[in-house]
Amino acid sequence: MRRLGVVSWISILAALGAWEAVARLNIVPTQLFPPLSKVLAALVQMVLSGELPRHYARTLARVVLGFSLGSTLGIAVGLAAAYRRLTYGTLYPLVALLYAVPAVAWIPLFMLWIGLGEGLPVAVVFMCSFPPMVYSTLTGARSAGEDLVRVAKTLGADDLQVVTTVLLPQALPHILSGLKVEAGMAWRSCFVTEMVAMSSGLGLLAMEAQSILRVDQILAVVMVLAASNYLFHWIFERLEVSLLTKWGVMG
Amino acid sequence: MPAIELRGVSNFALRGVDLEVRDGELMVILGPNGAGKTTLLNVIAGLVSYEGSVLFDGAPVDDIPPRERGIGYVPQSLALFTHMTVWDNVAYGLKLRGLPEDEVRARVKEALSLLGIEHLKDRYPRRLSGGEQQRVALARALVIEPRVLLLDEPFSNLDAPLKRTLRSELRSLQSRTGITTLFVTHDASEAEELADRVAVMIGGRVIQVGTFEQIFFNPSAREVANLLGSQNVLECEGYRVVSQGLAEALCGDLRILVPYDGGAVRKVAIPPDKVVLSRDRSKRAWFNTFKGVVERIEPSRPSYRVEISLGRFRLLAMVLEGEMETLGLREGDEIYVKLPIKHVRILVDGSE
Repeated sequence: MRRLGVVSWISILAALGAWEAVARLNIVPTQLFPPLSKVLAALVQMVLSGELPRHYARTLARVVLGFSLGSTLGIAVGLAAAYRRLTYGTLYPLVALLYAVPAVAWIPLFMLWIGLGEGLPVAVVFMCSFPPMVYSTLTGARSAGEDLVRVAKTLGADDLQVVTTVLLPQALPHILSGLKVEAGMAWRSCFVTEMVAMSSGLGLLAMEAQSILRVDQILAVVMVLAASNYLFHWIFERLEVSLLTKWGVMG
Repeated sequence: MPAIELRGVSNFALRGVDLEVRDGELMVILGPNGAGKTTLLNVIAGLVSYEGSVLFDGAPVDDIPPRERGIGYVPQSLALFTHMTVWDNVAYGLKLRGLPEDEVRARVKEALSLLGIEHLKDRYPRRLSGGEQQRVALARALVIEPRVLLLDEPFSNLDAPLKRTLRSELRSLQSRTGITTLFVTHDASEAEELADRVAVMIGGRVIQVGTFEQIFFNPSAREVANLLGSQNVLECEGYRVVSQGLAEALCGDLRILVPYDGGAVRKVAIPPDKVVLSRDRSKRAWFNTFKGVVERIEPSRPSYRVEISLGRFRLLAMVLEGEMETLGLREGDEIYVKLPIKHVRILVDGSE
């Protein structure tokens, strides 16, 4: 792993170096293809001016709110569906249908239903997290197997205790791997919503930079988006790995 | 009063099961796959719906949910909680009962030491061997001091030596604790080794109940005999003690040497796969060798079922394919039949 890490870093540094070098050769106008150093300078300038932190805070809040609402509710519904056959039969087809709709496709509809307020990106992020989390939780809880539930019942568990002490922990690896993927999707959906319909946030920053032909700023915003995306992914991945190692599934 | 009684229990897999299990008894439910054995356990535990009635100590429990029935259940999959350590697995039932922490600790400790797995308490189930997992599942079921212990083929995934060890451990554990126990298996030798009494299940019904010996020598149906390997039971009219541990049983025209330790010999049995056939009468080991006629040959992979008339008896021999080729048997042939003494079983007066 360590050796691979070194190789990865070298390849990233080489790509960045090539970017800087090619941009400085001036084959394409620097304005359309600025070198890395110029992008980083724009980033620093946007941070120092307070513009980036202000918009970033808005995006972060929307992502965190929409994502936590969507995944919490998704996990709850998934567990209920796993435990009750009836709930499973009624909910599953609906969730499968919702799952088929890309989250950003809700934007036009929600613009009319919710308006252009803070509710809009939160709702879009919610629609991006909810169906997949129902699905992951359901899959995970069902993988626990009927016997586990039966044993828990004979040992004295009531319905709620079966869900909290058996189904939820058993579904946790699936839930975490779902969260890992969906956290990235949440950032993407939020960014697009802000580009299309919002007057604040990273998406808006990118659109504004575009309107004044500041490619360096666009790229700076994109870098921030990618980093945030990666950070969320990394957090859930760490949780997943440590949990699976503890239970003896990995390592 | 029986500890457990089933009256006319029916559902998707059971067809009118009546059964009485005595207090403190280890009853083995023996039957082929798909006979409804697991469903029977689930009915007793209250985990599946059914018609009819289940009674514990004479009182119906049909409206009592599983968690209040006092059941220790070990399913075939064991169903250990993989997200809990061994300690937490065993403590689970006690914690749900809201017992004070020091009592939980004391009882978990006791259960772990009863099964000799104290040293595993901090491990997770996936890090345990098959036998260790088995013990954890048993400890978890026993620690709640159940009225009834339900074991569903608990040793089916283990190798033979470990199986034997765990069987004898279970036997002594059960007689020490005196918990009424139902043990499901499709393996007749397991039934013989463990059971106080055996209930044979076929096609969703309990069709015969008794000690292993009773059923072995008096199977009520051909399926029961097939299941127990007791297709060859010969009625005997007399016997003669030959020496210490050896007697000669007189069964029709046959004089059969049998292992003997007292009592009047009434029946002799030999499992069909232990019957030895040969073309010539062996000079070295002539005893228990009889001349018979091949009546019928039927392929039954990987063996052949060979029916042989032997005086007034009809004997079944299971012969492996290769052996069959060497013998070149055909229906109507004369053949020598040897009943190896170490595989001969006898029924004596007083044991039935």
